[in-house]
Amino acid sequence: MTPIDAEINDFAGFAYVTMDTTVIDGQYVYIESNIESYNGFKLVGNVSGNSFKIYDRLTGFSIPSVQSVYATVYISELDHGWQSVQLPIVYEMESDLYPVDLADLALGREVGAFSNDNGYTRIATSVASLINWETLNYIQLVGDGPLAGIYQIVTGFDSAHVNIDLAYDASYDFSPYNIVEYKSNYAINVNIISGLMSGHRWDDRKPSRTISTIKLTPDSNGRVKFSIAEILKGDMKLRNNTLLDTLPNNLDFYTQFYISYFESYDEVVDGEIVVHEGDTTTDSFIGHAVNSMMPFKSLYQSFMSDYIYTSELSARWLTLQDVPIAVVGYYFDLSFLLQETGDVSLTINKQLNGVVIETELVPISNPGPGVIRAPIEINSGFDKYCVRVSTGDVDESFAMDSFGNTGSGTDWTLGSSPSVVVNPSTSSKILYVTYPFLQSKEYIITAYYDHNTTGFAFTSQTRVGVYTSANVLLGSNTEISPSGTGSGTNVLNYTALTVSDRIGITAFRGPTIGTFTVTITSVTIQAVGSDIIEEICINIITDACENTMIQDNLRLTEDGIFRELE
Amino acid sequence: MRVDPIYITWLNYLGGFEYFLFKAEKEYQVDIIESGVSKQNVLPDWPMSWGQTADTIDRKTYTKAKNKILVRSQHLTANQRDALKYIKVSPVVQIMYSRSDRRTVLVDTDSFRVYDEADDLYTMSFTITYTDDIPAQRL
Repeated sequence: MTPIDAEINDFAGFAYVTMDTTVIDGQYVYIESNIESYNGFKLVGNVSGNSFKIYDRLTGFSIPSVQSVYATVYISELDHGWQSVQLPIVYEMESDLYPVDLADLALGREVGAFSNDNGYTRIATSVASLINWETLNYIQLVGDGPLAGIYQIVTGFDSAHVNIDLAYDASYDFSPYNIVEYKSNYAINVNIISGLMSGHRWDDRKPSRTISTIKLTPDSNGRVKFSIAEILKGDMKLRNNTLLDTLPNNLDFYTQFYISYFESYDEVVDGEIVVHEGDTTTDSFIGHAVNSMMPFKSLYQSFMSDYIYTSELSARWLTLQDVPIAVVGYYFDLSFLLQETGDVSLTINKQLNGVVIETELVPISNPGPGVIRAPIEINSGFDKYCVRVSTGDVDESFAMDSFGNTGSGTDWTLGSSPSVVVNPSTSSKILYVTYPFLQSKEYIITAYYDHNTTGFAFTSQTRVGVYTSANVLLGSNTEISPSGTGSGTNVLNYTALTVSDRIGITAFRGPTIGTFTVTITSVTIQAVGSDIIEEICINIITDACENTMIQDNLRLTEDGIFRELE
Repeated sequence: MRVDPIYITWLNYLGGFEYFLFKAEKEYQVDIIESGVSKQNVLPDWPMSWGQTADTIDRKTYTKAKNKILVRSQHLTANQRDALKYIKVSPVVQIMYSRSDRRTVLVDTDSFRVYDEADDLYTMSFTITYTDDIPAQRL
């Protein structure tokens, strides 16, 4: 990314960054300065104008001020979601049920009284009855002291009286402890879903499915940290298949993934111990795993973001050679990461002695996101090819029956011409369709619609917006419809500065008598194509040796050597 | 000595494939992995097993061998040298005859040599071994 000059000064004891570029809360920045504690990836917070505080991305604590310095700030592209499968792909979770059920602890349940029951300790709870008091359940005494620990209920009498497997002693002091129901055999279960998500061109070749479920027990802080990289490797094939059906998309080296998770622990039902499984939560993050490895201690090679493009910055090819060498007549390809759906094209400037003799445009029809092996045919008569990759111009009409309802309000009637009738003081739901926006790219989104407004006109409005997957509005344009019937257009010019997920259309009716009927006839999106992979120049050589490897008069023998035919 | 160029492709750590034509002189060798010799028991056929018409006492029973090639390349730039050295650690190294015909080989990592030449150019050599044995009959 472009380096940004900044100053870091003291503000109420904390490091406060001021620069000419605006950032938003929650963004990551990469800082280089002469103060070690300011450097590295930092989380942005408390943005005020062009100034903001920086936070440690792991602990969440704000960075204290040390000295005022000049610094260089890079705005991070960390939310691209692309990961090296040869490095850890790490998740961290925290449980509020284990090792201590925090909600139960907050009830303040204590030992009201205790007594001897055939050698076992019978306890009576002070306040807040136990829910799971049946025999074989577990309780936990939480507090500082020798009796702190986990005890099984030997005999459960009722919600306030249980015998626990603690030998009775009249000298016990239960005053420091709270009684908390203990979740025995507690585990966080994580489903790892790998494969191509619905909508990818090759989703039928590598469909997403659960490839593994792992069971994790939190540590004493209730946290688990785990990597799924080794599991995702199972969806990679370490081979060189130049005849793969899906080429140029090398699906051997690419998969998409996400996780879902649920809690499980033992509980007693009708006197038997059974495993309770909680509701499954699906994580909204969808990652892209690539069969790659990044070197450590290598400032200029080790960032995945170098291989991820934005409209401001082209990405690098997946080659280690600055100037690869290709040979006339030999197979040759170069790989790059493609992040979005749509057509791309190779532009090959073929040169001889520094002069571009010919420019060839090689279209690649919607290969789908992944590792693309760009095929480059090497012809004689040139000494250098310079190759770059561009996206095609976006000019797309959405299938109207692919739209759905989301958010709150009046439902749209879905179909080939979605429509809604909005009553006074109400709005419609968001009529939405997902779209893979490319960050920093400029889009023109146009909605064409028919409308019928009764009553006062100025209270009838349509809004075309771009949203996150959680329906956070990122940009919008609102148009007021005149009274009566007619047709209109609503045009939104939108630059995708952050991760954008969906296009939505909403209809509003103000507090005036009448209704507002909207029928969407079509929605289009347009954008100008841009270079996505930087230009690389390839030296072209000819195989000048007399004995070329494959000739018509050569025969391949069993040991792989060619024998000349008589 | 043969001078046939060898076109080698290998997987780099980024997830892309590299290609390089090794045109310098190569040495084609046969690497004998192991072989066996058995000694004839002359007792059962005595005295026929002794004399002018008798067979030799020792005979070869099998040979396990692989083709091995010492590959060389000259006039490499520093960047090419650095890129090519990852052949040594790549899990997929192949001789590429054509898009549909490739041969996986094993790289003898101990054989890697890089020599400085004049003008910041380098020479590299290493040995590759075919993964399949040379076909041979056995007794």
